[in-house]
Amino acid sequence: MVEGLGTGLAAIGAGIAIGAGALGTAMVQSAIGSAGVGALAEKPQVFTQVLIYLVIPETIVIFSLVVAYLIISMLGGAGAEAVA
Amino acid sequence: MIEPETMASVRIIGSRNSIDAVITELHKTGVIEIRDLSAEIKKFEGAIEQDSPLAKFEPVSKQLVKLRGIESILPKTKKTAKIEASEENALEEAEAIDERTPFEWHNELENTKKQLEALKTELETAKKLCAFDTDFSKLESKHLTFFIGTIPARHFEEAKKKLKKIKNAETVARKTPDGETAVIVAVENSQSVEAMQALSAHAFNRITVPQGVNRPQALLAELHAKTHELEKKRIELESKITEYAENNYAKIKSLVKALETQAERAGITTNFVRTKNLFVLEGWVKEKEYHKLKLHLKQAAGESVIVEKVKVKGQAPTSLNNPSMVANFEDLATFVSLPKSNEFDPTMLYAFTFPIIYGMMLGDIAYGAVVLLLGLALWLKASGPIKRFGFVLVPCGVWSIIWGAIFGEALGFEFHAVISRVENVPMLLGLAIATGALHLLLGFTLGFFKEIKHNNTKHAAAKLAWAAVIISIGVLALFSSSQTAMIGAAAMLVASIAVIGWGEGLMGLVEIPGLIGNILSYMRIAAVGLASIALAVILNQFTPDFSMGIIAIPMTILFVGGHAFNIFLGIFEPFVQGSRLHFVEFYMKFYEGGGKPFTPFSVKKSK
Repeated sequence: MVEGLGTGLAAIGAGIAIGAGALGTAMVQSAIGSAGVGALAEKPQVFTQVLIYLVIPETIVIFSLVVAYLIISMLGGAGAEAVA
Repeated sequence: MIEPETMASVRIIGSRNSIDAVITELHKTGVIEIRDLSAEIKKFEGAIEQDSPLAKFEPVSKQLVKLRGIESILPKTKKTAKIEASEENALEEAEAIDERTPFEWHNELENTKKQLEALKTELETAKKLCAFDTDFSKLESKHLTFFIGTIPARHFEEAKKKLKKIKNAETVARKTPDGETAVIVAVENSQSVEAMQALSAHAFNRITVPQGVNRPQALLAELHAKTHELEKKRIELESKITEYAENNYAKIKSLVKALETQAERAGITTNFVRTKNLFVLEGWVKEKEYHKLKLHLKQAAGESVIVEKVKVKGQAPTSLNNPSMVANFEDLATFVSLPKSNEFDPTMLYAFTFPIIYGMMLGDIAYGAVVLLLGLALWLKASGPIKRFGFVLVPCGVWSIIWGAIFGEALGFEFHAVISRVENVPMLLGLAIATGALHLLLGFTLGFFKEIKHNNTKHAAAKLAWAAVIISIGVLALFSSSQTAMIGAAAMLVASIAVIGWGEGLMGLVEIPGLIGNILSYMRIAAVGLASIALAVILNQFTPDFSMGIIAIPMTILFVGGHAFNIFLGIFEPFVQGSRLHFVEFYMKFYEGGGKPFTPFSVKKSK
């Protein structure tokens, strides 16, 4: 495990990656969600499309997870202890 | 199994003499969904016309309206025996029922209730006036205005002060039984506006004395007598209606059902077309039930009816065809949309893959047992959709236990693990991605067969190429040490991309990064599991330690409450995420949806 200021900054970076990704997903989903519910009230048949539009941004936070994981594993190999 | 029922479009032509027999037989057999032909009438250019409802439709509807009316005013009673009205005599029996009597009673009852309501207000007023032992008929004068009413006791003093300022105003006040102050104020006519303003500023509630009242006590007695009389009438009417309901409710209900059946039969003909002597109808039947239909109609109407298969444009309705066990998954698998009748029914695959992915996310022996028991309880005790949902939970629980044994986890505590989720995160992520790749391969394979079935060779080739892209990426990732494998995989990747470009055009090429996203999306399997463990590990730090004294109490609450919450999340979240992986990542590779459910013309089962 690499110690020192660099390690700390990298860990913070991993946190920011997840946090910002989650925020981004949340903001986009709130917009799509409210519009989607509006569309569903008018036309219930579009449920499938609305659901798909709604979950598209979820991928962003999954990418965040990948980035965060890469940073953590770069620090100490497995990085498992840090994740848990 | 993997496909919905094959549907056949049939045309039935018969002589008008047999129309009754044919409709009754179709309704009883319940295998055909009748299409509306009226829209297609134009192509016959006047040779045939839309059929009208059968002659008995009108009297049946009339009786139906009447009986439903009676049904709605009768109290629901359970005291009656069940009666099944015979279909043949239903109309005569319904006509014999006189609706005037129950409706008269009902109207009279409503009237009585209204009168009682009005009397209640009058009684309130009379009670208040009783504070004065005055003959109210004498409170009339050409020059004076009288205000009679009540003021809340706490406002009275204020009001009194104001009234004193008005010239020649006289106030008499008495306490009423309900804590208000009843007042009679007499002022000269010229001062009446001023007096009214003073009073209404203090929540004065004016009472209009009923005409012809002398002393309020007499009025009170009179009103009491009237109320008593009306109450008696009300009870009498109610018991009459109840008795009527006990004798007739079941009969009316069964008649309504019988008439509904008849009305449905008599009205269905608006979907037919006719000539002078013939009627024609078209509809959808399951291919396997075509001969049954033909046989039944021959028996019912003999040679006067012809049944034949016809080719029609348009989408056939969908009737799913799964073994009863798998059918329990239909609600969930077709939650987003029903498959069209000519595409794959994903239920079977959903029933197979969903529990595996669910178990991978939950991955805990104890939580799995909870899901399993919950599922069994719902399946054995509940009914309808809840029962089916319970059945779905059973394999989910079993797979959670299996994965729990592999991950070596129970209630968040680790024991001998084959793959440790906490210590071997890369392995877990790899497992999730591999699952995704396999799942998508399955999706593309289905897509390939779908395109072959529809004779879209180009698209079918593209689907295969997509599968090849996944395989070559897999090889590139796994066998990076072997140069031969690398070169082979790279060549396959390039070739596949070329085929996708040829088969699906530019849109296909644009989608390629999306495929990576799709596969990475399966990382949520690992993420959901890890989050649940992380929460459990943190909660386990709060394991109550009673040597710490009072602090042990909030620790216990946190420990128990936290684990309960974690179990709830652990059961719920894999459901949502697992379904999403199916609906979005998996279905998009082969599924169109947008089917219409098959609703045969049949006798409704009684509840």
